[in-house]
Amino acid sequence: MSGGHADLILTPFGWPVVIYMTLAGISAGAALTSCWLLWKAEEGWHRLARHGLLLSAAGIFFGSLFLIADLEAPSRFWMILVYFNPASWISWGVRIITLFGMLSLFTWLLLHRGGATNGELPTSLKLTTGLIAFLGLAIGLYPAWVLMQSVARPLWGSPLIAPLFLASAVHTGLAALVLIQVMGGSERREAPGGRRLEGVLVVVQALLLGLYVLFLTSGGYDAAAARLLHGELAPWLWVGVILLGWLIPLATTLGSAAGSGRLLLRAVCVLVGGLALRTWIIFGGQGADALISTLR
Amino acid sequence: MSDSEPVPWENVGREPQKARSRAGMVVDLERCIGCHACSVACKTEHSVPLGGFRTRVRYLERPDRPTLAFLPLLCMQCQDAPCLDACPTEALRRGADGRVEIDQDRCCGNKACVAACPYQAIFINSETGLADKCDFCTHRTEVGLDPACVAACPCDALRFGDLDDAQDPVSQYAEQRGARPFKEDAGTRPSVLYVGHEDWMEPAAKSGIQISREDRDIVYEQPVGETEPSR
Repeated sequence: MSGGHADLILTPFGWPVVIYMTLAGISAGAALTSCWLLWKAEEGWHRLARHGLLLSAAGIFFGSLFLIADLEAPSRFWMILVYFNPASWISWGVRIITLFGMLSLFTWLLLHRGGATNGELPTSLKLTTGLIAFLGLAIGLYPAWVLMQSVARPLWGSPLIAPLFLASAVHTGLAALVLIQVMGGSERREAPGGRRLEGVLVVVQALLLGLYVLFLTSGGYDAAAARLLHGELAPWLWVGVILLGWLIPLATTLGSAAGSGRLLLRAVCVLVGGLALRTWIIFGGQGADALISTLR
Repeated sequence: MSDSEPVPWENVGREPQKARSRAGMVVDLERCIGCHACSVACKTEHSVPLGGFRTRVRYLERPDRPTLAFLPLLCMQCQDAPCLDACPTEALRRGADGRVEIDQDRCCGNKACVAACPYQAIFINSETGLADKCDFCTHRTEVGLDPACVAACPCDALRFGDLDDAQDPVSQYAEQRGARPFKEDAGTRPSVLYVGHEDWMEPAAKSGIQISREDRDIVYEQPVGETEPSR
């Protein structure tokens, strides 16, 4: 969907950005879920929460590598850290991401050394997990916020994208934890409230996406809306987001308690759905038919 | 050249230059003949590689009669420039006379400015990997010359001056001819104004490089290792 240098004018954000935003969402969601497990769940779930924090740090680290790969001058990536533009959300985002990654890793180390005792978190861990949750929330919203700032590309301008990305971040982060749980964790049973949460997250996303589709079809950008809903990008929505990301995971919650196989299927499908959602929105908002003033 | 007195070559750099508060350009579409002299002069002046343009001319098919209109496009040097806010390294800066310039030593090619620009005026230079765009030829205007495109235009369709100075001939020309910005609804308050701008041009001028035909743009690009441009 993105080619040479001439195409970069129309499609400046390509696959590395899509993957970075997906990984950032997974990291943010995994961190939020891990913090919740540490605060609320019984101690048996703390091991999974510890893995989740490591996953957050690793996810944001690898996501940043994709972001660096997307630079046209990757050897200059350090400039984003050294130079600061307070008006630029990317400038803030990079610093939030760095702090988030370091705090997740630090908290994982604390937990790894046995920071939690008798299920009660020490003050230092309460503080770091509180900060991680706050930064995780920011990172869940941040990619959408960056897209929303683009005056040139009105299809990214909808404020619905931010809560949609956040809900998807929690959904994919939770799925990543389930994947860890199934692949090697000690707790292989379904988490308490897991089914209900699955349903709530799908319903919230469906509602937000439905409103976003209304926004798409009413903004005067008919060609772009057609491309998104029944054109080139439509499979990412109907197959990727709705079938794989929502319907199959919902189906795994039906009937008796899910075993490892169903949990694995659910987690993989949700992760693919998260990637599909970002692909659909990021590529959908770019292109000649999605530029401001192409239709009036 | 603009309506102002041309500066003799022998005096370049010797005469004190007038300080402008808002460097700007007026593009008279009723004078433009689509000769690409501006694009070629710009390419030559700045050694812009194939596939990139600081200044380009789009050919637009008129909806009401079978003729073409020509639309020179360049960086609009917006007063509320979204590229300035988008750049995380402050590589884009505003000059004293309001023009927007790129500090190549600070650019890391993250394309945030490319994504932010409503005019698709910023591109990635394929030789440097860094953002590039029109800067009204700072190196020329600071020694009293007009930008290369203005100097090259055979029809006086491009005029450079101070839009804030009511005495400036270019400012007066803009006022008299009712010049207005392109894509005004983007809300960026451009410093490039157009005479003869018509509403139908906005949907027609999608972001191809040179020519817009039907709903598709033809993008000329030189793949590495090939000698002929591909379509």
